[in-house]
Amino acid sequence: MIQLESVGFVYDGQEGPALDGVSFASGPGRLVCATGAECSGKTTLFRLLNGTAPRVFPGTFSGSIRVDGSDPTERGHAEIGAIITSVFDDPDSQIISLTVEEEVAFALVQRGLEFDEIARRVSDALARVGLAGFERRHTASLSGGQKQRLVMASAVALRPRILLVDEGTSALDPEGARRFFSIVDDMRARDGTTAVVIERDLDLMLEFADEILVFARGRLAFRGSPAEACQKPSLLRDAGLRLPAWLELADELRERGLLEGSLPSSEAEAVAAIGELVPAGAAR
Amino acid sequence: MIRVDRLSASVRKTPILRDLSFSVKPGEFVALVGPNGAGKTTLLKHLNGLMKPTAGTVSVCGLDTKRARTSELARRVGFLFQNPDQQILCATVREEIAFGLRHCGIPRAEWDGRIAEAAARADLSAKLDADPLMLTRSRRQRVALASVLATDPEVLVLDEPTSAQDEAETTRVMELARGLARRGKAVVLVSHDMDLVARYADRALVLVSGKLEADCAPAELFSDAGLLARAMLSAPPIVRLARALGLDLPASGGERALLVRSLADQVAALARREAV
Repeated sequence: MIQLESVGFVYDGQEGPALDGVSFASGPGRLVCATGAECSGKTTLFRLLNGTAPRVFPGTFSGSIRVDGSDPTERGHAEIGAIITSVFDDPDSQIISLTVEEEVAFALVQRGLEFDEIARRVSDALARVGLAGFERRHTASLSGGQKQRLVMASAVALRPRILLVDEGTSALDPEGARRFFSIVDDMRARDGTTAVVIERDLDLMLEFADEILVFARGRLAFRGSPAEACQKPSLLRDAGLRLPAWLELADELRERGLLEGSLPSSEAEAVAAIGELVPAGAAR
Repeated sequence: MIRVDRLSASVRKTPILRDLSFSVKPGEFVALVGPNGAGKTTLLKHLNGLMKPTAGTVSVCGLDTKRARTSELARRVGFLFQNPDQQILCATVREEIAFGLRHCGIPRAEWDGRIAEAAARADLSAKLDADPLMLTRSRRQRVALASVLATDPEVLVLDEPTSAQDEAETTRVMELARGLARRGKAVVLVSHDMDLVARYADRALVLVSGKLEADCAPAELFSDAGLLARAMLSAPPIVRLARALGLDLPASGGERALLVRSLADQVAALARREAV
């Protein structure tokens, strides 16, 4: 459970707030995607949730933030680590072990789990991310996409109550990015993990998110379901996002008065709605 | 400018690249595409001598990379790594850009001008005195780009240069690369973003499991369903949308906004015909 009320943050040495008046809540099994242009506040949100701001990134915090019942800005690293697992854009910055199975086991050993339990969780996690059979492989020999799946396997094995991801797909190919989101999706469905994912790929967010948060200049400019987000194409463009081609076309057709009602929220809906306008064309 | 002849490469005896041949001329903008793990990054590392061929030859600006010193190659080949943190070394953005200038032997008198120009092109003029590692990933990626631009290399190798950029910065970076190609530089881009490949590249080199599966125009790649499947690639979303709706896209490609308008024009025309 994550709850933010009127959260603000000003980094030391900076004038304006990095976050200002941000409120939202999310519960178990929900996947929230946070997005926005550069310096919109999304990474600051991430840092507040995992307690690295203000501890590592000093600054002044205001408002109230509860992660699993207590304030992460006041908790110790170990306490936070027991609840929250963070995944970053660069897997090389997170992988520390020589082999794949050692990597997944590492955090479990730190937690003091029994050997049998560790072995079970390692093989279960590797299977869930599609790395079964890679147990003895050297981590350095993996491709970028495989490394990021390994990082996710470590997260899966921990069964965290809260999963935070900061642009975890930015170095992946489209197939790898979808696979990454499927793993997150699986964690919320099977383990009831509350996931907050910073992302820039709108297609993925529309497909997987329960809720989308759009940040602009430190404030929450939009909060709603993917279908609701699709009704705000200009806001999404202003947030530095690339709109899916189908949404661009539907928006253009609505501007021209050819498409009525609300904008579609998936490619299939868009093709159906536009296809009705051009039965001759679609039949070609 | 780049000539790769029967290149094979192995890492710890595992073959990564198998018998590749292609060349890139001055002024060409070439995209190297393929799934994660196809060997794209390994191939790029052969273009600036970071890796030497196991078999075959690679020559860049007339230098055989097997014999040329890495420093000689570095002067001619600007290399942007996918992960900017692998190439940022200095305490300020200004020093970071100067680092490349010093090591490429650029006369001191030119530094200030070159630093200012490169920073402006990478949208970093206000950040010259910042610590690069305190900047966002998006800006760090542009710091690495500015450092490469400042040395004015003959060949630009860009490994996912826009992976951390938002839409506006992506366009800025790509337009910059296109401008350099028009001024006679050879540009080799690795990207998973097929919209960018369609819009900017003159040619696509398709790499699958270390083999050159195709060397063709992007439009040709995106209309070959079998090739796309083998390379685990998809046509750009707008191409798939046009096909799903039975509409045509201008063969010349172009800005996304233009393509969207072209599709909307066709829908409007068909809707009018339907109404009659």
